[in-house]
Amino acid sequence: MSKLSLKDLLFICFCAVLLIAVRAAFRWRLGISGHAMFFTVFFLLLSRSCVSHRLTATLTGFFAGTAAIALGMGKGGPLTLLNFLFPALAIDLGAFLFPPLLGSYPLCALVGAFAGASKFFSAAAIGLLIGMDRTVLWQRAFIEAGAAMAFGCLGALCLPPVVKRLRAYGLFNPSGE
Amino acid sequence: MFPVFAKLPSSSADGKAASPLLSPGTALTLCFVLSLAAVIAHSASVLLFLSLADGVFLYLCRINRHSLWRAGKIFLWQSTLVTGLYLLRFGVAAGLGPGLLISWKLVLAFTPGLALAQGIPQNGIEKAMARILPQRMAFALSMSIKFLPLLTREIRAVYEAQVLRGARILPRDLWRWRNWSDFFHSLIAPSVVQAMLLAENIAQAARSREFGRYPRRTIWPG
Repeated sequence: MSKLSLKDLLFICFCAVLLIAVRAAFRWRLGISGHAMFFTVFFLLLSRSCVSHRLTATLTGFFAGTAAIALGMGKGGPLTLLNFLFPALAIDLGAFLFPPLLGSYPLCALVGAFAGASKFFSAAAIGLLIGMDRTVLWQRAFIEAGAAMAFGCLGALCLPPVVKRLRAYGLFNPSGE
Repeated sequence: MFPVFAKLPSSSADGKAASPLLSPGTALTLCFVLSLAAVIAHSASVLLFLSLADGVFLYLCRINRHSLWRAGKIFLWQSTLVTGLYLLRFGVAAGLGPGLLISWKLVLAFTPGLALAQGIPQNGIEKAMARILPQRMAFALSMSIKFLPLLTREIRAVYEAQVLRGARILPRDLWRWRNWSDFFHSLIAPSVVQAMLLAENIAQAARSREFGRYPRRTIWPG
């Protein structure tokens, strides 16, 4: 793994901390399941588009999870890390499989939905760990994953306009595609 | 680059930072426990107890009045918004109580983080994080937490400048989806550029202070 520069590492951390701050600010509990995935996917894709490294999104997810744990922003304690790591891994995998991902609306929507679907695994893992009934666990995981997919898709669709503008500024990293 | 460091949020108005009465490790642990307790608490009596605990925590972190007033304005706006949304969704009778309770929980969940970010010196947070993370990562993460208020102020300045230039990014404009392109072009993209510039400035300042020259010599005072 090539070593990231300090500037890139700091930018990744800024994305992670902004993600936590925005998620915390929108924690309204209005009964809309999965809405946090909107911001998660957007910031993970944003960091992936600006820093050229294969594991940028994963690192951002790791930092976001660590900051969330340190600042007590997660209901699940240390398991909060899973809520960030699974979508981040999905995004890095998507960027690896589809190199022109970051400027394309359909590919962004696809990868956003894929990242949202990873909520199924984190919901199931947490449910299994706390000893939830299996039927209830799978039903809950499917419902949460469905909503997260929709919001992840919407969050990902917000990225191409930003990438387009950054490309116009000459700041978009072509090797990050 | 250096004037950025002259405006660290932990500095008080007269330029002298008040020393916190807690060690960074203890403050970090208490912050985690208090915020988590606020998120999982359901009864008003527990929230009342947590309010008292947060008050003590704020005192121990030696938060100055200016920081408290600034945070209070944000909390007031957020509580009004959240309660208003609950009233709209559930009506006055069913929405007022839960709306206020959620607002109260939000304030209690944010307060320890505010106290930690404003009251505890950056090198202290870094030291505490360095126990669980590699030094370089701990430095980057603690710096980004420390500079988040500065970054949000810069984003706010971009927002105000773009509104004055006629960008349709006011909250009432964003109800129309067609205005979202303005939002991305005139606010999000420049904010990303600001974050990149800030990261570059911090990295340059760290390099000029020989950061990373020795594996274990990244914190001052050691």
